[in-house]
Amino acid sequence: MAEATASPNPSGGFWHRLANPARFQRLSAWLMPWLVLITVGCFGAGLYFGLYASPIDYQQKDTVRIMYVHVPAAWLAMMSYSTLAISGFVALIWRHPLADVAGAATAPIGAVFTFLALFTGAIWGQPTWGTWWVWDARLTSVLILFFMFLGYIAIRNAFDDRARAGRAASLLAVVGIVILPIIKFSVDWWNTLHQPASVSKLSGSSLDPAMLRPLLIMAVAYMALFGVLLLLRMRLELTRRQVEALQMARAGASAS
Amino acid sequence: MTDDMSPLVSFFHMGGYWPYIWPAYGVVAFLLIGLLVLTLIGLKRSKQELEALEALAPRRRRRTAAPETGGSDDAQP
Repeated sequence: MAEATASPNPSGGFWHRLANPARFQRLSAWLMPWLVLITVGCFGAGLYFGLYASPIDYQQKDTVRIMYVHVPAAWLAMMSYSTLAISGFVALIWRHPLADVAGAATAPIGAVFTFLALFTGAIWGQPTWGTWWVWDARLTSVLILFFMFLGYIAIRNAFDDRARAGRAASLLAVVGIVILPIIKFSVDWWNTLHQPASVSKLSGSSLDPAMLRPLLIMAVAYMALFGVLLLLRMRLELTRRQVEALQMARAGASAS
Repeated sequence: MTDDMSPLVSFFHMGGYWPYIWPAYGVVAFLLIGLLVLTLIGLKRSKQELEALEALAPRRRRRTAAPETGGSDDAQP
């Protein structure tokens, strides 16, 4: 990309230009209608195929339909955590202000998706395994992921100094990335009640195409919604910080 | 599933698994829509707050505050 003369950052470059909140606002305004369109369209199609136009499983009967909301929630929980860790890394190393904003914006979204994965999993577990919950490796590691999102939010709110809070939370997010391979491979490393991967594996998906279709459509819907929520929450975070800075400027002006 | 069920009833019946399937979908809808609505309300409120503050502050002060916050004004001196 060509170097912009108006770039406030001397080092320039694509990422630094993206760091400019005004450019972010413009990019997000352009992106938003497309993401909303994909979200609405894919949820519509995903619900139609998931709840109606897909076969029942010969063992699980209709309960297989819970998969279409459960599995994408678990994928998005991990995607949210990746976003959190990458934002934390960029915020720590390059002091990228938008990365810090992105991290703060991602954490509540990730917490919700992780909770949904756990909750829908429990509802699915009762008719298929005969129990709501077992302390096995997959379920326990996802529960830890949920607490990591909560911990990240708690750290952000624990400091009066926003910059310190951001650094501490970012550090937690980066160090905590070890949870992702543990979750992913927990079903292979330990004996667990949770079934191993059936969609993403080397030999190809073992899922019937009629079931894979609603699953993938719902996954796209979840991802687009994640994008919508992330952009909105980043705008919210930026506006809050502007309000805070103006309030501080006013307090400083009235004190002098 | 029995034969006397209408298509609509059998759809909601879900082969007898309705007590599991509908709460699962319901919680997903409730929390995802809830998060979206809360975010939109928060965004609207904080924007109103910002506008109120900007109306109070003189133009010059807003400019000086902009670089620190990464304000919405692109053309910085």
